[in-house]
Amino acid sequence: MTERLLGILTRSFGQILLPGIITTIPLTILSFAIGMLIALAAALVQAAEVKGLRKAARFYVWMIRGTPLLVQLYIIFYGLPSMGILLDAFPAAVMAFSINVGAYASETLRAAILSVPKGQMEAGYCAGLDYFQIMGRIVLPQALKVAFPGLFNSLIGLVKDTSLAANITVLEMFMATQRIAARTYEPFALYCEVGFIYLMMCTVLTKLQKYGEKRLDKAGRMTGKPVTGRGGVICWK
Amino acid sequence: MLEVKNVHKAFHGTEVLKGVDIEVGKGDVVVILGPSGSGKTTLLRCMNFLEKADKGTLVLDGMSVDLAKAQKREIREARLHTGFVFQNYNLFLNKTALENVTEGLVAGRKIPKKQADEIGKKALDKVGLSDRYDYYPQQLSGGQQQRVGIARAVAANPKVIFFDEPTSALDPELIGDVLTVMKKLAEEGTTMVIVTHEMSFAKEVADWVYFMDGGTVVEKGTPQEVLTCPKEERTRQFLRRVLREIDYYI
Repeated sequence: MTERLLGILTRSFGQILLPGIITTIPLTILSFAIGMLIALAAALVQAAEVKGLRKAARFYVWMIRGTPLLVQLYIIFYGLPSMGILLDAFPAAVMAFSINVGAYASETLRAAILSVPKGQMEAGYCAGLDYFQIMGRIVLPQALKVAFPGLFNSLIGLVKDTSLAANITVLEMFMATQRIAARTYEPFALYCEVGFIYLMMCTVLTKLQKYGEKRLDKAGRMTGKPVTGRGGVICWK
Repeated sequence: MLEVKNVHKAFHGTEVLKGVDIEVGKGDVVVILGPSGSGKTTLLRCMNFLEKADKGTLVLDGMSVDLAKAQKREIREARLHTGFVFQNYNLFLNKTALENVTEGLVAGRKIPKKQADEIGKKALDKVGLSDRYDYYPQQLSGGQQQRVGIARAVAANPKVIFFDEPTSALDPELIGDVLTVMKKLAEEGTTMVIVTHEMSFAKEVADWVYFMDGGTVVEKGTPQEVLTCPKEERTRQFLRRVLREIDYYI
């Protein structure tokens, strides 16, 4: 490796990491948090079979999963102004990413809610709880444990997807790299460098996921495997 | 004290209950017997609104509810006065044994946590689980789980407890513990409606036995009348078959 290249790489490292810290990470956290709220709402109205809303949630998931994230970003940032809705680049990116990740995460959550044996719901009713109490106290705590790895998958995906925000003028890690690459004519090294930084971020998240799973295991004691009981009824042992 | 009248229920056009009447007096133990598919479990589930009946009335201690058109408020009110024990226990898997029992007291009946804990511990003591308060369902045997289920149903001091085949999912050697607990409850004067296949238990503990087949009550009476000298041919057939099955076990 030439000295010049080494110099570029060391100098650019900070210049790439800085927008990573002040843009990529906040963008990811904010989008994921809002996305989770959307996902929870979309999953719950489907699990509860709320008429109308259930259909709306299905439509939302269908739309978002069926169109490219890049197209969604363009519609929100470049398209909406013509309808009179003008958003800054960062809020537009947050909006696009939360709507997008919400659709995927809602499916993860919905499946997790369905995986909680239905009998507990009935037992909850018989014990005198109402629907929201059963959901909040019994079903969701168990569902979140099941959904946890899947949701982390979405989060890790989102970290990398934020690079698409460069297309709508958000100065995040990837755009910073592009600029340096254009200046120095070292695309190979620089794009490898930014890739490495993304990889490190996701590595941290992977470790976090492992730690979280361990904690949940301890908290829920749900280490058992589902077994088929007599009469073909699935129960947990 | 508890009465259901003219219960009808069909699943996808198949009639499962064709006008069933059950009457339960205070302190009575009523056992419902019948071959599988006779509608006994469905009847029990309709009585607690887990299944919506197409027609029928429930009268619980003077409160009359239309089983087909019950309002949410009425259903909740009725459920606050009944307990239900499931075949598969249906314990809350993220809660300890004690929390399983107190959940309905704290969240459903707004009893202060401290007081609920006391009631819960008493209920668990009663079913012989005083050393298992903090165990999660997965750490308990089937028999223990079902006894937690019974404690959960008993704790709120309901007017009647429904048992839906409480021993059918258990290993034979664990059935005895559960039946002992149920017998104890019966002796204390708990009003119970029990769907079961345990013939000797029915004979010993029941005040009234209903025999159901094909969605109707074929025969009812004291255990003596129904189990020892049944009048109906269908009852006799059923008993012959069941008793022979028991021979196989021996």
